[in-house]
Amino acid sequence: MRRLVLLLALAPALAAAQPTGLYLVGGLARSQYRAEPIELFNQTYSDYYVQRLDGPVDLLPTGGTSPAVGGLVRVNLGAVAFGFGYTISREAAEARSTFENGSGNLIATRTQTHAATVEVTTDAAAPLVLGTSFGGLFRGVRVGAAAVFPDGSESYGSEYRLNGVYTASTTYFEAGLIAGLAVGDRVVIPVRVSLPIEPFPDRIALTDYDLYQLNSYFPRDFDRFVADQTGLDEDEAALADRDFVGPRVQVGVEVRLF
Amino acid sequence: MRLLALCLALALAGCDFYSEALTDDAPAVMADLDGIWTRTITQETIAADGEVTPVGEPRTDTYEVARSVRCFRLTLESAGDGSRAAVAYPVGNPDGGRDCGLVQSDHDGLRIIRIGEAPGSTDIAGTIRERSRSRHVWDFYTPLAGGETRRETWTLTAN
Repeated sequence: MRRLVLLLALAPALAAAQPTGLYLVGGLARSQYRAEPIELFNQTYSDYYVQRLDGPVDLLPTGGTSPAVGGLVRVNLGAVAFGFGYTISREAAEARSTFENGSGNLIATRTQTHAATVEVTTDAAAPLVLGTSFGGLFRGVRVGAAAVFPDGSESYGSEYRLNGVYTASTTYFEAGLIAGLAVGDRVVIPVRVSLPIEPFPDRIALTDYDLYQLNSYFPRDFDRFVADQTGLDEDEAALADRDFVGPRVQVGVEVRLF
Repeated sequence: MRLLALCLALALAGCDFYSEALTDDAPAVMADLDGIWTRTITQETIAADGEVTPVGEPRTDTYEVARSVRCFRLTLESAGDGSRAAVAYPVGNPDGGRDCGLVQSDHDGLRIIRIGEAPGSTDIAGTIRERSRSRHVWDFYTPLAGGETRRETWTLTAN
């Protein structure tokens, strides 16, 4: 209650919410991936090596948090303001499985997301800024899988089928809500929550494009991957670009440059 | 002014943070590899307990890498900047027994790939340990029975 009173008292100073201008955007983005296929890999891998592992391992992340930077052009039309923005964010995670003699696997996962958004906001309840956004996204995924040997050396070579550098990229849309607090006429502190919209049904497997092997996709179901010597079961056994798509939350600050 | 300085700092930090994902290292690896090298091949066995034991004596020969090399009566040519043709022969005897093939690097510069040398014309990939204009070190691993692994290391030193 005390905070609300303070906010109302400060409202005149905070009011001129979102003038027309070019804004620098910075903050943190949390991306959630599709949990089911990723957890299927983690589970089937752990089950396959159950006799050699101390317990289940989560080699692939089901989401990631990273810095997000970009820019936004805002045009204030009075009752509402339109914003045209671009941000880039990149998540990175690394996990290991360790067998009884110190060998195992090292999995490094990276995603990079380019987001171009259009948003409509209102500062009718200044200093609060409320609105909606719609965006087009391009997300690149890279999974590096290495074998770790008992002497500690690591190899991305072809001696084990899981080894490799697998990549995929996907385009999709998202729609979301924005709630923010304007501080003066130069700074906005927004929170953006977005859900994915995927109009394209195609799934492209995470593939090691540099190496020619009969089976060069990264597994979703590790048992099927091991049984699939020729790569014919790719549609069912592979992780795909769309498995790394999900809701996003972005928290940060927008600073008007001019 | 302070805002401009902030923008510049953020832009520089952003470029540094994101540049890694945008590069293709293969042409640079191949450019470093052009030339005539002394190749030393050593083999070791890694036991299941981590103990490393040398196997046999190191072998040395000459390893020539270029966009095209002579291979018996044929000329072997690479395609593009990301691969090269390679030929190995006894030191001081370019007309001796020749072992020819195509090599390339992956986009990350992590792996050296010997094209079509595995069964079924699939590729053999090894891990790049060192890379420079004067020295390259590549490791190729082969799993053996009983949890052992054979490591074959190719060390190339510039002639």
